[in-house]
Amino acid sequence: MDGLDQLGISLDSILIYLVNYGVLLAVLSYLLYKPINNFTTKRRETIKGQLEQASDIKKEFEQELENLKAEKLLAEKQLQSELKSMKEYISDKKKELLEEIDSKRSQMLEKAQQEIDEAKASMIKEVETDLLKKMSQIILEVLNNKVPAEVITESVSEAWAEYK
Amino acid sequence: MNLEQLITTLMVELLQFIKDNPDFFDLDAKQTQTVFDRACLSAFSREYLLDSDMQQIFDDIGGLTKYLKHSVKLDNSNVLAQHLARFLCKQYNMAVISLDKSFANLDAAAQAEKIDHVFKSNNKVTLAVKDLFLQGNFDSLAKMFGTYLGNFEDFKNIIVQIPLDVDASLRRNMVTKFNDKFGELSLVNVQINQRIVGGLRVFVNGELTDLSWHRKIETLTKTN
Repeated sequence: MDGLDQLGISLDSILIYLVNYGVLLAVLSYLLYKPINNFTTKRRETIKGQLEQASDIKKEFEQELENLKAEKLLAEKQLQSELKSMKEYISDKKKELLEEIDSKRSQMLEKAQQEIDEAKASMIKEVETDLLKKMSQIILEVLNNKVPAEVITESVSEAWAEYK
Repeated sequence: MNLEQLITTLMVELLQFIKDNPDFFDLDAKQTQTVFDRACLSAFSREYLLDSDMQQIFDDIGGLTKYLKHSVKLDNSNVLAQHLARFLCKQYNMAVISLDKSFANLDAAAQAEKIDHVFKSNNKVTLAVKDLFLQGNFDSLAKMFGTYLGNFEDFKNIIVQIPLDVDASLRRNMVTKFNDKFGELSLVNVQINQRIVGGLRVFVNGELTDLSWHRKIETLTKTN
């Protein structure tokens, strides 16, 4: 004990100090512990609430993301489908167009052929008519001038018999 | 002489006869014949008088006069008009049979001689008919008669075209056949048309039956 005294440490002082500390602790505990505890508790709850809110927001975002992905997938599918039908439409149109072109070409060819045939027939007919007219004139000329009157008279009798 | 004058002659003959014989319709057959002979009546008037009575005669003459003066359509009940139509056809067809196409080229005296052979009587009506044929040709007479005959539904205007003249027997045969086929109101006009070459063409009221060589040649050259 003397050694402590020598060193300047007094047990009484220590005791006083301990009592002081105890009183201080008690006062502080009484005055500061509850508010601090309430504050920390509130703080913890606030943080917990914020964390839960953040978690909810995250979940919402995730859900939103999933929806977006699904929508994107659906849109892609629709787009693919539209693209496919468009391709089919274009293919059909192309086919129709080709058929139409073919048909028109055939018609034009037929018309051209028909016109050629008609022109040819008309020319042949014209020549034939001309020829037949000349033949008819020659025959009538010969019959008018060369056939004996008796033959013509007989022809009248025959025609009359036919008419009767 | 035209058709109106011929009709007038016929009507005058009838009226004169009625005036001279007012009791004609009371006579028996023998007396009728005697009266006819004494009056030198034409065959036309005889036939008509035997087919009618006094009232009919006046009605018929009235109707015919209206037709001549005002072109009033002839009534179907007009017996005189019907007799006249048949008479005209008969006279014309008789001339067609008896007179060949050389008749047109004869001088007036020769024509008169020929006509006398065809129409042998010399009563007023026959003389008027003779005048008609001496003054007009067949075509103009056919047109003149046709205008009158057109009033009758069963009238047939027949034109036979032949390339050259044929003998009277064939012409008679034609007229007889047409009369048999179409009745007494058939006016047969035989025309020469050298363009038909052979055979004949027949127009009945404008409807053609073509049996000519011309048509045959045309058909032949068209079809071959």
